[in-house]
Amino acid sequence: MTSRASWLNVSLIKENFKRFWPIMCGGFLFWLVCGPIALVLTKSSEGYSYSFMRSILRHINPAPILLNGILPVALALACFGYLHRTNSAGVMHSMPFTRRSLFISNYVSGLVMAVLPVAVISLILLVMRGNVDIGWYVDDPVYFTGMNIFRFFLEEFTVIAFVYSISVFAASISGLSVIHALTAVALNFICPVVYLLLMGYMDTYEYGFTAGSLIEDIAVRMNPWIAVLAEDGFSAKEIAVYLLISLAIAIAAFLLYKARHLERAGESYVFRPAKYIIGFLMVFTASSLTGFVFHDSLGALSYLLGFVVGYVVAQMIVNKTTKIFTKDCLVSGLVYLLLIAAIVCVFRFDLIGYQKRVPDVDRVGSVTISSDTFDMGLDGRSDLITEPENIERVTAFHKKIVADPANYQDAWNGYYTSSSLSWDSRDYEDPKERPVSFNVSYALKNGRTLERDYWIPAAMLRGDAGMRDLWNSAENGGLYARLLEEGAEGLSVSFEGNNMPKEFREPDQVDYDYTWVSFEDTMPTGATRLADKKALVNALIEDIKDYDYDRLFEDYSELPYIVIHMDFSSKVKPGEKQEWESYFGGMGYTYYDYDDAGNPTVKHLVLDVNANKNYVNVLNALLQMNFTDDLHRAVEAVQK
Amino acid sequence: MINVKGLCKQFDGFQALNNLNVNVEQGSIYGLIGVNGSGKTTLIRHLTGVLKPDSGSVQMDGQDVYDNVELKKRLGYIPDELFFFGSYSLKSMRDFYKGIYPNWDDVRYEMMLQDFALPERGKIAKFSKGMQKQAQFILTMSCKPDFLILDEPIDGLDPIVRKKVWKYVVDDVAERQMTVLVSSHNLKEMEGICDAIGILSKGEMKIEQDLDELKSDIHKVQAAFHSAEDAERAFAGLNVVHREKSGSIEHLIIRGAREDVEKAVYAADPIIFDILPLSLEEVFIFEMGGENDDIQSILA
Repeated sequence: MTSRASWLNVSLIKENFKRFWPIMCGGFLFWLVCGPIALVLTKSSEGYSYSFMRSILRHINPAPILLNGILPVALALACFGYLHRTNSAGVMHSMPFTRRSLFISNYVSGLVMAVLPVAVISLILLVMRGNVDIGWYVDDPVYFTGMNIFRFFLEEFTVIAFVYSISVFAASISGLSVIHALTAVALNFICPVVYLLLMGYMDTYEYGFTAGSLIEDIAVRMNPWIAVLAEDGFSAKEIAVYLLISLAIAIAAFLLYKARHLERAGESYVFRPAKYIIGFLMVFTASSLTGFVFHDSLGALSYLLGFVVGYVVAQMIVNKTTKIFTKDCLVSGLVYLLLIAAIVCVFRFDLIGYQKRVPDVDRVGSVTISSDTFDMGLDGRSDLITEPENIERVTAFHKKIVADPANYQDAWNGYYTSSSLSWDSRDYEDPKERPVSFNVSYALKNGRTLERDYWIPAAMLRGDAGMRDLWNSAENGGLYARLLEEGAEGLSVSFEGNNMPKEFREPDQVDYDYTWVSFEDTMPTGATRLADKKALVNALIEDIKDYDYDRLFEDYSELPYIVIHMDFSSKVKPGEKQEWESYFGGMGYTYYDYDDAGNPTVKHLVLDVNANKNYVNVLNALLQMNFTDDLHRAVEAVQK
Repeated sequence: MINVKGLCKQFDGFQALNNLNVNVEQGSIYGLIGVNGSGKTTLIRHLTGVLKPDSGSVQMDGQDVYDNVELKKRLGYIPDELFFFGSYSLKSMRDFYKGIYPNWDDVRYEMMLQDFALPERGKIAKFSKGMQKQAQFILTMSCKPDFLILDEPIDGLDPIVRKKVWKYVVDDVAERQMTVLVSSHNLKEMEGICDAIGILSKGEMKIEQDLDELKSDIHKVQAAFHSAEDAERAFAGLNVVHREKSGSIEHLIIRGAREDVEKAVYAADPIIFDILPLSLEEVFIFEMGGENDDIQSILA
């Protein structure tokens, strides 16, 4: 017969509060000192410190972040600690509770005790908000609002529920309190760690792999405790997802609790599979880390090094003994070794077919190419490619790249991923046969994206007829077309560059150091300079009109050039749809200005044009303008 | 009434209990004895609902014990290794027990507290082992359980307290028909209090019998006869489970009714004949297949 009493035991919850209230109160006092009291102490005559208040509500105050990691684990240890001794486990389960009511009562009491401190703090902040002038930080006067405090509480609750559920899961599988604590902490990071390790294997072995900051973003989002540090906090959807995951973890913990072998209290883990899985994860992590670090110098031995260290540590922990060369340990160790070898082989020999994967033309909606050469000196020319024949040209070239690994292996002295790129490498590369970057991103018709990032010999790109045809196709006229569209009104210009002439370098700067020279003040906005801006745009149009494919492959590293940073701004019309355009990975892009209410007011189209000596018209136009001598010298240096 | 039928339990390939059957009559005291590792504690953990049977059933009053809250409210358990909440006093534990056991009796609690003269407000963790055992006994008996499971209940108690403990148990059995299962290595005390005995060996029930029947069913015999033929004739129809000769005197352990043994031996006209019942301890040693030296000491 199911009754409410069989789900929850109020006496047990009361008893837990009676026993463990000091932990909860400790958490509350910690919050109080780090939050409201510190807020009051930082108050000036103009009001509360905006930045401190923000650090609390945006979860970027390090002390509460630490507390969110410690308090839920401590309460899980307290509420489920009886499981880890044979006598207490026996006595508690002989009392008139079902396993279900024991679990749920302990789970609920621990969760409530973990959340109560932050709930009370939220109420205190609400009271403070209603009784004070929020002060001098006028840029964001709406920050200290009831809604933001409620959002703060929800986000804190989400983090606490997640960390606590994982800690309770750890309680269900562990047989010792110290192992429980270690497992609770480790499980909070296990998903991001395993994900990053797999991405590490992809990065090491899968040619063409690219994910960039997305990898870190996904890894961070796998645990709200870490993800809450992100400036923008959580969306409602994220909160719902995290809470659902927390619930799923709690249910899994409950099912394991029900199946738990109480007589195994005192062992590290009470479920044999848990012992082997956790042992494997420890060995896998150690092996992978040494593999990534020492692979270039030690080869396969690097994985073995981490394996041995991981094996010793893992077996000692999961078996709670120093006798780690028993038959059982050795057999499991051998299985771990084979599994790790299998994982390495999957990536090393591309058994998942990642490297050779090039989509069929009819599956591709559009393609974007980004390259340091393909758009060299002409940023923005190659935009979105949608014409089927151009898509076919790209896929054909892509197939050519992946057909022969030597294409990329030779391209960068064995470094065949973009992550290995270093400017220093120019010193020993033959400039004429330098490797060039080639990033291709397919937007597939099924809504997915396929992206690859390569380093290939420049000659390969230069000699490809298909890519040459693509360059010369009508579709490749992005910047030219945009320049014709945009007027010089609202244009602001500045100049900067990597290879600015020596006159602009500090004495200790080496050739490839970045140099930035702002001429913005030499060209103040106003009617008097509008003619110069028009002349500059027209000169640029002239220069790029007949830009030849072969010019892309001129030795740019030896050519001084000036980056002309052009920002075309225009007022946003009422109801105008925002269009986010991006050229070559953000070198040409759009962005918007907003008013206080969050409505877009001004649209900016930004283009960075690397003008070298081939930009005859641009350089001549600049010389004829009334700029400082410095710019004239720079232009003359480029012309030489 | 406690009924265990065909109970099996395995731990990592080790058969802790094997097709075990136990029957404890209502209002009786059942003594569970066995060597270390015979499965007593495992059986008790099943009886208290801590462990779930691999197969078979563990029932009290016809209901399964495992996860049965209503039944557990009527069940008292004193484990060998005690557990109290850290920093709790007897009073705090009383409050907790009172909240979860509906039959809690404050009057009895106060009376027992006085009788055992324990400090109610001191931390139990600071009590001696014997005092902790008394504290647990007070708490358990104040719940007025219908079923009482005791695992080494008098271990660490002085003789005076032991007597008090058994008195409370016996009184409750007599007055409330409480059913008791007690596991102990103190066989002399078990012999004085138990109605029935179960001897557990390697996870199986070797003997389960009413204590009086058990003791009247096995005897040690010393006898001497005029001739070897007389001796053979005397024991021919009896269930002789052990026999050895020391000079002209025969030492035997015989199972069966005392009258039958006497009748058979007297019929052979013995020179010397002495018959004694075995103590529980002797029965246990013999049934457990004690070493020759142990058997010698029984027969001596």
